[in-house]
Amino acid sequence: MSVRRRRHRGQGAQAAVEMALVLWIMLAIVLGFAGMMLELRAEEEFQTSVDLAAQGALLPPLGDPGDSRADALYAFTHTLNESGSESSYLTVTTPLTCTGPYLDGEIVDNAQGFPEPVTCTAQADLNFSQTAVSLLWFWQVQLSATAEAYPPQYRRCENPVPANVASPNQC
Amino acid sequence: MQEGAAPVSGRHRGQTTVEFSLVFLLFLVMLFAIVDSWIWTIEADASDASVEQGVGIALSALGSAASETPALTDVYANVFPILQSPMLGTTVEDWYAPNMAGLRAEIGPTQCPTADQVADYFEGLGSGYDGVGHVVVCAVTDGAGHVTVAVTGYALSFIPPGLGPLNWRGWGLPVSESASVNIGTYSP
Repeated sequence: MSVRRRRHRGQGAQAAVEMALVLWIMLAIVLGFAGMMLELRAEEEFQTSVDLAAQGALLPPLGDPGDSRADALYAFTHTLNESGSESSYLTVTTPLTCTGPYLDGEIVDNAQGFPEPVTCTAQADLNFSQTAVSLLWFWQVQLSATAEAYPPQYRRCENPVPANVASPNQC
Repeated sequence: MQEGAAPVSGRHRGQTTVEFSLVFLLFLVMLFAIVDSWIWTIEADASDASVEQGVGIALSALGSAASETPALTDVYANVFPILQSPMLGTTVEDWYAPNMAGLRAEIGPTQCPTADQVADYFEGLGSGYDGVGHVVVCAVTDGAGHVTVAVTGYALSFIPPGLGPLNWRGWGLPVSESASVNIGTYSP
């Protein structure tokens, strides 16, 4: 075999190795980027669900904690669409929990005169194992969302305050 | 020049050109995939923000603070400024506009359409390849005390038609965001 032909064969092999390396790097970049975008989307969707849950808790009038919790849960579950695009990789691990004086039937003002908020939290796991992104994103991502909603002025008791009520904040 | 040198050199140049073309094509496909997923994220995030704002608008009841009639027809005008710019050429349609009457009649007054129903409708109107390039802002009540706001349709993208098992429409990516809350009032 001539020296020139051996050199060409060597160049061909080198090109194949270079191609293999470049291909994997490019694939890693694409999958990494796609995974990052999917994670951002899931985070945004999850946060929106918790935001609306906190706001939903304030929809029923003051003094109706059962309805407040039910409305918060409804807003959370019907915004985080479990049959939607994120359903294959997002799993709620810690269910929605909402706390605050409003859910105990009263509005408590802090030292600055602002009402204490309703605070809702939830956690979820992102697992891409059912998608092509798992070739690179083989680990699990934990999402945590917290949202606060402040009881508006109109949620205090109507004037005149009923005789059996201790204060406008406990009707 | 030595005998046999020229043909080998010419073949080598041809091989290099073919290799470069292949790698460049692959590079372009991956570049478009990255850009597309980035644009889709922006569009879907804008839809999410619109839906959240839309729920607040719908709940700001018609007529009086004590009214329990949601302001469904006011949602589009209020979320349009949030949606129009990030949608990058995709048209933002009003569910209550006259040109949507056909789809409204088909879906019914208590539901919002899916992304495919929106695309099918616009395909039927002959607007956009496969009906892509339109998203609808929809706000309805389900008749059981809940209000639902949705942004659905297919946004424009670089994905060519007939992309295998993904079964996406040509030049479009689905956008489908919705939220549903109980109807409330702005009074005690």
